[in-house]
Amino acid sequence: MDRYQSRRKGTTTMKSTVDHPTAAKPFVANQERMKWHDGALWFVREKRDRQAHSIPEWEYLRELASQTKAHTQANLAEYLEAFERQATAAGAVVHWAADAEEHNAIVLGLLQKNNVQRVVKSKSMLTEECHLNPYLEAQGIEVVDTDLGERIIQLRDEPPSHIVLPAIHLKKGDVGETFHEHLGTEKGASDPKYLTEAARQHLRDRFLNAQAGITGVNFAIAETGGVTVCTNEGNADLGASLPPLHIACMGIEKLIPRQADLGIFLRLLARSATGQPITTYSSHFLGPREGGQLHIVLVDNGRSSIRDRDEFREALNCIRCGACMNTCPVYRRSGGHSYASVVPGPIGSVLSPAADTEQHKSLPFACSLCGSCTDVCPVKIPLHHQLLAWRQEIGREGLLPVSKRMPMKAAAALFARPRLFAVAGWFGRFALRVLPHALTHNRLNTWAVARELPIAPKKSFRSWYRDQDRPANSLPIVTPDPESSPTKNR
Amino acid sequence: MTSSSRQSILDRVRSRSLPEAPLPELDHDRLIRFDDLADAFQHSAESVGATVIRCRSIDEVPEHLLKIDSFREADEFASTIEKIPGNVQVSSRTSGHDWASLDWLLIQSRLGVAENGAVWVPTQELNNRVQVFITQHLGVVLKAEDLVHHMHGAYESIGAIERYGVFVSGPSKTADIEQSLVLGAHGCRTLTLFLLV
Amino acid sequence: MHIGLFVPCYVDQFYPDVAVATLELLESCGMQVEFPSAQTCCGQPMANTGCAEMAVPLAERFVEIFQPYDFVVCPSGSCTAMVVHHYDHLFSGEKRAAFEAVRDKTLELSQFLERYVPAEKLNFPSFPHRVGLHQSCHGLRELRIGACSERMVTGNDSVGELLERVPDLTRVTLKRADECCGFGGTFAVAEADVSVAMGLSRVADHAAADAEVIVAGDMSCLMHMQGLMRRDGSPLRVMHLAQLLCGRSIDINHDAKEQRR
Repeated sequence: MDRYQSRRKGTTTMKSTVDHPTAAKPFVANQERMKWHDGALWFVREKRDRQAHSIPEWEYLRELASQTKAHTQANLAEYLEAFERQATAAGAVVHWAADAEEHNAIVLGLLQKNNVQRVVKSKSMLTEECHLNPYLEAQGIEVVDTDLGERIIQLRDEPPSHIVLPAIHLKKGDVGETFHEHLGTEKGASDPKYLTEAARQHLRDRFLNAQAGITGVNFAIAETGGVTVCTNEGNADLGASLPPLHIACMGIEKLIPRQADLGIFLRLLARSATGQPITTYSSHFLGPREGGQLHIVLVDNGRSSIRDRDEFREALNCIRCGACMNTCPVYRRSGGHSYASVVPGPIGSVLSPAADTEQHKSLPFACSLCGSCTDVCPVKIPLHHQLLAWRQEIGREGLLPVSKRMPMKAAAALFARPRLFAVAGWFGRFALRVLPHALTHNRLNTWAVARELPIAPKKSFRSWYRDQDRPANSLPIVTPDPESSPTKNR
Repeated sequence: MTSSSRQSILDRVRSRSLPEAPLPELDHDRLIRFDDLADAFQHSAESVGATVIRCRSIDEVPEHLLKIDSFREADEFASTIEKIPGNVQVSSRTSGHDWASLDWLLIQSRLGVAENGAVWVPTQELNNRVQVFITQHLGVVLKAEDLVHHMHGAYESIGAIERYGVFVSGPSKTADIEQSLVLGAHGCRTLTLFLLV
Repeated sequence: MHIGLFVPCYVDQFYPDVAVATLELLESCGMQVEFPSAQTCCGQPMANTGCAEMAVPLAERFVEIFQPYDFVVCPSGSCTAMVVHHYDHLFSGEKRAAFEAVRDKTLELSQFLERYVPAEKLNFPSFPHRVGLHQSCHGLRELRIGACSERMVTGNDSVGELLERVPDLTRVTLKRADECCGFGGTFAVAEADVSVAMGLSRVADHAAADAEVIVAGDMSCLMHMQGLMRRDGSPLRVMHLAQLLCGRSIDINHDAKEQRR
């Protein structure tokens, strides 16, 4: 029990503010592992590129996906009601949860009512977001994560570092040690095939003994009341088909209007996620299996408030493929745990501040604004523009640290006064030329810890230009007097 | 508790009306088309780890089966294909757990997708759908005439789903350990597709 | 055509030759070019740090200063993108019309050359070196001056096409065609460790491809990479596209004497 609570320490259960650069430091400092992590994710990004290239209509599909999600959001209430109606008609029971607590209580209630002590769970970022595992464990219920990556980190008492590849931060030797300790594999054995086989045997036993299966939902179809779950391992289906009770947990943003729309999303999802043309299993559940029960829990937990906000609404289009993480040059080099959030990387840095801005205020700055995430996103979420929008929001709410705000204020004042700017520039370049290297490159100058400052020229361009025999400002340009300018910094 | 949350979620969503965004209609002319569906399907299926065996008719399937080691070594073999019966008493197995010892399952699919090598498996013909996932090895018989180009074509062909159906693309797999691809995670270790051309 | 030369503030102060080269290049194509000296900074550092309100006066000044010209041309994709894509929410009411007019005539250097200079005028001196092209993110993914590797579109590649016109130039093939160098403005300082790691792997990619010089349309990326290379004693050089097209020495940004003209 304690282990599962400690697993969540450093994530959202502990309300300390996340400082991404500090959290990233040890990960970046381990050069060899950092480069390996970068390479492993870049390999996935390249697989994604090859798959996307195989579809000439790729950009058209992204557009269709984006429009379909926008339409669903605009009519969300109607689609939620239609989904509930159809799912109920098919024999499922639909539950509604306003927040994580209510979601957990609903799941616990269902398990207790059915005298369940042993649960198998396939991957669901929603249950991770709600911290369902530690909650159920505290009630004496055994929860076994059955996705291999999730099982590895569950045994290690760690949070996932990626939404699709939860154990991407680990090397096979790490997994070998964990399995030796928990599953009795041979000491020192690290062959992925051998370790996967050991997990298969271990988990098959858990599947056969489980009394309930919990799954996530990739897509819920308003038209039919069905839910679609995608896995590569087949763990969701074993968990939903062996025990008599299947609980499917989903955020309200998972809806799509029609079954046919799955054509668009299934073509995009796995290609974007892992560079596969489709996941191995794309399972379509419509009502419970014969003699079984299907419960579907619809969860809001902050989604409707993101929907309210024009600048962040599209983040709800996310289909959790993880492509933005794989492509993000910051994520690849800082590791998923440095975000201290259930969802790391670019999409996580948009979603986490929506849940708690103060706590996650450093995340929108953990980004060089390169825009790769936006272009790789299969549903066209303008991720880097949303991160930029968060920076303004954090500024407006007065949450910017002085270290960020003060230099900007000083620079803005300088830039408002061209003559002062020219003088300051001259002094700066002069200082750089005459002062000893050790002084200009001291430890307090963060730029210079690993980088040289530029070689300072004697003359700025503006000074060179003035010295030329050139027509300066021949057009009637008003050069504002810095002191009387109406636009001067206030 | 739940019903009040239902109302509050719906009220919250309704209280913020968004600009109407039309549901896009698919322009079929913009979608990929393969010159040879069987070739494209075979290429896709093999790329995801399946084995494709082309046969002229269902009668050729048994001789191919006998060439497969895992099939010859199988103790339990179940089949939904009348011409190729299995060796287990299906009616005696009432629970999914009874199928835990299944080695080989042979089923028929009526839909294959060229772009990704997936076959559609509606499980009504099985006595328990868990067979598809719990079997060690899976074989699927599919007619080339039942191939479609892409997933849009697949959903047009599927129509209404009865309780459950699954697309299977290749054998069960994982790459969760250092991105090394391993076939046979929790589901079938091998997938053999008998393509009747 | 009367062009207002928009020079990024750090180029003005630290890489004046990049602006000189841009000026020479445009004039050699028959353009009439002026540097309005009232300009300072477009305001991007403030806006990207979450202080957009501080960028408002700078944006207003920018529009006022560049209003009279037919075109505004800038040797930076990033600063151009600030004006073209991110000034939008800084202007409202009566000031919008003037802003939109300036926005619509503001172009990055290679964009301008591609669109408004006839091909026969684009004659460049020989550059017998192995060149690695660093596509800056904002040029690529904000301005779309080239087709980035994430999108499945075949498109223009204005920088690449200019390089193809340079006699004797060899373009090397990089493993990662268009990954970010990790500069990112204040990101370089706020997330120094990650920024440095990104820069080093970008430099390593060029070194592994046996490039002699890294060329980019944005001097800011190059300033960051140059800083890393000079610390490590790397023989690799950096040059702005304008400097290369004007046939500058490969040492232009590395030799103190060259710089202090």
